[in-house]
Amino acid sequence: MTNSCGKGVRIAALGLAAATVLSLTAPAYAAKGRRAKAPAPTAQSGMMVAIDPATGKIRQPTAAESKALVAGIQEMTKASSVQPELKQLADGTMSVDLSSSFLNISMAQVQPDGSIREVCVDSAADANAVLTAAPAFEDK
Amino acid sequence: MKTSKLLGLFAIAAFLLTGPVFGAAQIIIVNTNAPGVGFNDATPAAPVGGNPGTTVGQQRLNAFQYAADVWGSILSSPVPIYIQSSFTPLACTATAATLGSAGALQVFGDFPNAELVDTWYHVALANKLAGGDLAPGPNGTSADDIIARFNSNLGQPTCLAGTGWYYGLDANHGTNIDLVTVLLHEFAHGLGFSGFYNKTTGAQLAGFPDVYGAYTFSTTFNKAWPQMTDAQRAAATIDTNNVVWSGINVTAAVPNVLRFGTPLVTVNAPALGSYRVGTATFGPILSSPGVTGDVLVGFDAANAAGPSTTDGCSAITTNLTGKIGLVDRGTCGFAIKVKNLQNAGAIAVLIADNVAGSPPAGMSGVDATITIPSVRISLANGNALKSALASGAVNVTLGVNLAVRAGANPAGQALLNAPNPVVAGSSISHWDPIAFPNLLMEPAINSDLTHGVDLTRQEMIDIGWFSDGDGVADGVDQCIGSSRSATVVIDGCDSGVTNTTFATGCRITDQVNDCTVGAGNHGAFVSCVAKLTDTLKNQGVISANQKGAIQSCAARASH
Repeated sequence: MTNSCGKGVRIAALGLAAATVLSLTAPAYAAKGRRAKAPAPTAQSGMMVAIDPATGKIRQPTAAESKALVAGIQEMTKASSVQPELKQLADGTMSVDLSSSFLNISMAQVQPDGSIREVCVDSAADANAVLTAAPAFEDK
Repeated sequence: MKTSKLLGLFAIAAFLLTGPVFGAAQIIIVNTNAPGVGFNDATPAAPVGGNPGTTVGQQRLNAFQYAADVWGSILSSPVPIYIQSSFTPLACTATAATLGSAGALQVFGDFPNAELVDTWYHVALANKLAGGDLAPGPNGTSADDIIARFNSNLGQPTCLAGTGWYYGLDANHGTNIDLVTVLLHEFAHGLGFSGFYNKTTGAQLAGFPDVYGAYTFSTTFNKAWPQMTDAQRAAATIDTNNVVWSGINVTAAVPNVLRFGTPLVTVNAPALGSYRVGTATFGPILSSPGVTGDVLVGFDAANAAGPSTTDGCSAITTNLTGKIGLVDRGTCGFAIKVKNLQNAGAIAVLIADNVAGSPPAGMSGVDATITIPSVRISLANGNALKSALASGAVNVTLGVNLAVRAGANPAGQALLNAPNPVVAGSSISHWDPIAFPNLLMEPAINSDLTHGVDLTRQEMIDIGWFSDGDGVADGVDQCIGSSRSATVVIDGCDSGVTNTTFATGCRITDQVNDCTVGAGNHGAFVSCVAKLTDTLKNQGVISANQKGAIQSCAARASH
């Protein structure tokens, strides 16, 4: 698996002194995968690509797949559309039963290089944004 | 008071270095699965990675309890924490899946011992502070504290085919997904790493702020979340690089956790601050101190290669010798633009985004002949540079700023995730993903995490998990762990003097204890207490008689 940040930050070690100092920092970005080769440009920037588990080839996720996933998350967080009720006790204590109003949701998504990206979101809208997000690197 | 403040800071430093020795909390996994499924799945499984379970269900339960025990060993509460847990089929496809979800089931405010008034607390934390269960009731209902539901279908052909859960406890997950790491992350949200407001409108839950928001601070508005209007809160939510965690415990821990080195464009003149950048996969890698120079827009012909005179898609007509060229994103590839500006003499290139949003994404491309560095900046930052150019010269440095830690602002405060628009991960309730080393509570749950809780532990301290009940919120309390004694007691001698709490969160006993730590012998201790009580008397905190009572106890102390 690789991380999802993939910002591709690369740091030069120019000269001995710089190299010495940067030894504390350069591995940081390497570990974050930022030295890794950028994902191959997609034909349609802004669309997620994925590995077809049947053929092993890179393909776009189908609209139905994305829709199904987002719908499932919408179901998990459906209580968020209900206005939470404020309760107040005689001693002044107040409370709200959140039910599923403020859930955090972990998602996993196959990346163009076959790795898995894990992301935490907190709504179906966020989940949809993840599925349709532009890649971490764009070619133009 | 300066001395006592310094001593207070010393106490904080010592506190932060002591590790998780604050006691413990009991975290109980409430299994809500039906027989034969989820945690009760009897499918045989070989023990893996320190997980001794011999069925799939038992391994799942062991992993849950392991993650619960990690947090339980760190947090402190006299009230058991119940996590309503299940493994059930959740939404997924062959290429993307819901792993699981978690969150607090209730929030409470204005309960006994709450340190912040009219402020929501996650129920588990509220119980801890109140010293009792504020939501009693049967398990499996909203009387529990956290709800956690995870996907039992992961790894099946129709659910992220080929990639399943790793139930081991050693983080050796290979290409599978480490359940314990995901649990540590999601449990943290339920325990206190989350805010309760609408990200779009900025509206707070039932009109009240929450304890997480109390330390969520906008450096643009110079206000914490509760001090803002809804509109300001909504604007700050997408104000990349300008939202920080203000609690003193996290800030004190930043130097021990985050490493120096952040890629930035720093605008030296006029002093416009530092801009986040998207880096390039081509050209030389960013260096420190980087490249410094005056900025000049690179103009080219509006032609078939690119319709704008600032898109850099054809030969640049501006002499950019010795300058840092600025062009707009669009039409042609990033590498083409940079090469055109390099040919015009530029020593570095800034490419301003052509759509709103931040932080800017990276730039891919291939051209081995590019020898100058380049970065992408946001549309807003590009416009700011252009406006400044209209008034005169603009000088910038492009490179890795070794004075700024990765994941912190120049003042050393940890950054919170504030993308514009929301691209991936939930805003605010995560650390900024630029952090290095990777943190547990970044929006991306990175594969190199090893079951540590890094800065998140300090966040839990800030919000009150180790409260000393002195009425001063722990995120600003310089003396967490103060004696709860109502009077000043020294080595068993009760002076009868009220143990005053100062605005710093320190009490008189903390200052006396500072004398204990700093004194090499009894005489030095007595002398230190004498000076302290003189100061307190002069400040009107204690009377002459009370001063004598404290000094008398100090004289009789064995240290």
